[in-house]
Amino acid sequence: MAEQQSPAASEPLVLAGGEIVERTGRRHADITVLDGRIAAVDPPGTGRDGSAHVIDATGCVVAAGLVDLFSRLGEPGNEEAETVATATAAAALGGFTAVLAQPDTDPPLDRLGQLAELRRNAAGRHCAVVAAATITADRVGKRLSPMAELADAGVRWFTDVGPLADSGLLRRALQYAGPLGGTVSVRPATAHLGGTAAMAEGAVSARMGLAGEPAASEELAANAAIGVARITGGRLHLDRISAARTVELVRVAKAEGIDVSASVAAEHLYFIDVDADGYDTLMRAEPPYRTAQDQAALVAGVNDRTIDAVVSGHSPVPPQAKDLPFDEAPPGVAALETCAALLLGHPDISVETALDALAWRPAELASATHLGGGAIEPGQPANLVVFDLERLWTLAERGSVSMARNTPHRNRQMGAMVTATIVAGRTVVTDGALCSMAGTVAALTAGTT
Amino acid sequence: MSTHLLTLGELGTQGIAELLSLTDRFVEVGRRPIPRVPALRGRTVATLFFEESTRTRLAFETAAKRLSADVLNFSAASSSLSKGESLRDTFETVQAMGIHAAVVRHRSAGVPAQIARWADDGVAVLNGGDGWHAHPTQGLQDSYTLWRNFSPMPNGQPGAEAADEPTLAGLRIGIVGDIVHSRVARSDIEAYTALGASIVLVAPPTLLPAQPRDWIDCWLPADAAKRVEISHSLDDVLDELDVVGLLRCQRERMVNGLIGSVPEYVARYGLTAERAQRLRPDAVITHPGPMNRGIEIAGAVFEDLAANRVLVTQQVSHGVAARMAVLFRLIGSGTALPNTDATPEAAPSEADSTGRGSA
Repeated sequence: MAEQQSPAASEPLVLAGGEIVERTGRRHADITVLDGRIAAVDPPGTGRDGSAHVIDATGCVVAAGLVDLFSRLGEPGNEEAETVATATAAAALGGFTAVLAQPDTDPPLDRLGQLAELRRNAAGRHCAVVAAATITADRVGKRLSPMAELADAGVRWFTDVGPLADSGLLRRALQYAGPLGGTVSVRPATAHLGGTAAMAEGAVSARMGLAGEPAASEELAANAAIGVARITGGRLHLDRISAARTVELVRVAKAEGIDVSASVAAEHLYFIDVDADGYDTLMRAEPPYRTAQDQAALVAGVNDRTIDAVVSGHSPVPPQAKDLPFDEAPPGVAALETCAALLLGHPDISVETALDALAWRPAELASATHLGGGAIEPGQPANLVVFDLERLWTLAERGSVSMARNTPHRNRQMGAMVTATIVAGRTVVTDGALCSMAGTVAALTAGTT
Repeated sequence: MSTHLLTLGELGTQGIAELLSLTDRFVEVGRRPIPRVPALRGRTVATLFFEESTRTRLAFETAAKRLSADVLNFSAASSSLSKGESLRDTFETVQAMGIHAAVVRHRSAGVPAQIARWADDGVAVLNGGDGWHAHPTQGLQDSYTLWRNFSPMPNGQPGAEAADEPTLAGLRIGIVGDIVHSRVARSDIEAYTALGASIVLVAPPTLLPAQPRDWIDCWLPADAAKRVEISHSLDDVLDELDVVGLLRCQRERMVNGLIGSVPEYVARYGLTAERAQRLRPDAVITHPGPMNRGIEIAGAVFEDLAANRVLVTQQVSHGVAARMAVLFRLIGSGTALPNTDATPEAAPSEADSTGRGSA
C-alpha cells in the first residue's frame, strides 16, 4: 500500500466540502484544523483559501473520530498475532481515533508498571490508545486490582475481559470504582451453563455435535450483574452481549434508572449460529453467534439505543491457531479495519445511529471525548473521520495493515470507505491509505500485505 | 455432489441406497476363498486417526487391503501434533506423500469437514468419526445390517432380483442411550430415516440435545423429521420396536452427573432380562460396540438371545464391506458420490477377469 506523508501538524489543514454529521444534526461546512484543534468551522467553500493543505471531502460524511470500546492490541504476550503499532494502524484505517486496549494481555494490565509500558508503547501511534485495567489482580477473579492507584493514573475502565463468576467480588468492584469514576465491565456468561462452549446451544450445535452455551448463560450472569449494580449504584457495562433476553434485561434496567450500559460486537449484527455450520473457525466467536431472532433483537437494541456501543471486538490470533479443530481454535475476529464499514453499511441501521454507537456514546462511556466522538466546534481537539459512503471496497484489494488474518471479510464488498482519519490534528489516513509516521513505518511493513 | 464422505445426510436417500447395493457386492466378495479384488491397485489410503480406535481403523484397513490399495497409517501418538504443529500442517504433510483418500477420525466435531477444505483435488476425505457429530460408515454398516436382516439377499446372491432395493420402510427402530454425545446415533438417524424407517429416540433428557424437537426439525428433511419421535421411557415403546439400537454408555459421562447412578440407568434404559421377555419375536438388537455388558444389555440377555437376534457380529462384518463400497465409489471409479451411472459390477467382475484376486 502506498503511504502518504503526513503534513506537519503546525500547517493548517482544511477538510473541505463534506457533510458534517453530529448528534445535533447535519450541515455542510469546511473544517480548519491547526495545532491539534479545530480552528474554524466555516460555510462550505470558504475554508479553502490560501496555501492550506486541503482534504477534499466532497460527497463524504465528516464525523467525530470513532472510539472502540473493545480492542485487543496483541502486546504484551501475543506479538505473533498483532502489535500495538499494527493494531493502531488498523484502527486508524477503520476510522477509529481511539481504542480501549483490553487488559487481558500476558501479563494482564493490573498495575501501574504495565500501564506505563502500554502508554510508552502507544505514544505517537496512528491512533490514541486508552488503557483499561483488570478488575482483579492477575485477572484471576480472586481479589481487586489496585483500582484506586490505576484511577489516579487516569484509568476509568476496569474489566477482566470476560465473566466475573463471583457476584460478591463484582459488588465490591462496583462499590470501589464508584467514587473513582470508573466503569466496571463484564461479559456476562455462566461457566456452569456452558459459558466456555464453542457454539450457542440450539438446533445448530446439536446437529453439529458441539457443546453449546445456552442464551440463559448470558442472561443469568447479566441479571446477576444488574442486580448487583442496583444495590451498589456503580457504573456497570455489559460487554459484547449476544442474546435477545439480555437486550431486554438492559432495556428494563435502564428504564429503572440503573447505571448500566451495553455493547455488541459488529460481527454479531452480521453472523448467526447457522454461519458456523461448516466448522469454519473464523465463525467461532466470543460470545458465540446466536439465532436470527437474537440478531434481530441486537439490531433493535442498537436502534433504540438500549445497546450503547458497537465494538470491533478485535481479537487477533496467529494464522495457525485458526487451523485447529473448531472447538479448540481460539474465538474472535480481526475486526478493526472492517467494523465501521459493516455498521455504516448495515441495511437496518441509520448513519446517525451507527455514529452514535461507534463514536459519540462510546467516547462518553470511556471518558474519552477529547480523543474521539466529541463535538465538531472551534477549540475542540481535532479527531475526525471522513467516510465515502458510496465508495465500494474490499479488504483484499485495499490491503490490510493488521498483522492478524483472522477475518471472514477479506473478499466482502463493503461500502462506507474511510478516506481520511485525523488524530489530534494529524492526518493519519488520507485517500483511504495510511500515512507514514515516524517510528512506525518499520513496524508496519511487517504487517502490510 | 460430493467427492468426500462427511455425513450421510448429504448423500440423500438415493446415495445411501446405492452404497448399500454396492455393499451387497462386497459382502459377496468377502465370502470368496480369497476375498480380494484389484479395484484400488496403485491407490493409497491414509488413515489419520487423531483419536484412539480399534474397530473402525481395522475395518477401514481391511476394506482398503481387500481392494488392493496401499494403506498409510497415521496416529496422533506417532505424530508431531504435540510439538505445536497445527491440524492443517499435519494433514498437508500426509497429503504431500501422495494419497488418494484420507480416513479422518478426531475427537473434535467438524475436523473431517475442515480437512476436506484443505484437500487437493483428487483426494477424498472420509469421515471415520468426528466428535459427537457423525460416523457415516457406521451408519452405513448399521443400515445395511438391518436391511439384510429384514430383507435377506434373494437366493443369497446380490442382484438376483431387480426389485431388491435397499429399504427400511415399515420398521420401527429405537435408539437407546446417550444420544447427545453420540456420532453413531446421528449417522444412524440420518440413514434410517432416509431409508424410510420410523425412529424413536429413548433417553433421559440429560442425554438428549437441549431442545430435541427443534434439533430434529431443523436437521432432517421434513418427511424424515416427522418419522422421529422422542421418549424418555424404554418401557413405553419397547413392544413397538422391530429394532433396539443400543448406544454405548461411557462410564465417565455417566458418573459425571448426567444420570443419578448406573443402576438407576439400567433400571430405566438397560435391556434387562425382564425387558428381553417383552421384545417382539422378530425384534433384533444392535450395538456399535464395545458393549458394556450389565449396563446397556444384561450379560445373560446377550448370551441367551440367539445369534440372529443380536446383530453385533454382523454389524462388524458388514462394516468391512460397507467401507469397501465407500472407498470404491470415492476413489475407485473416479466418480463422485452419489452417482447413478457407476457400475458396481465392475469391481468383482474385474477381479474375476484378471484373476488377480488371488494375490
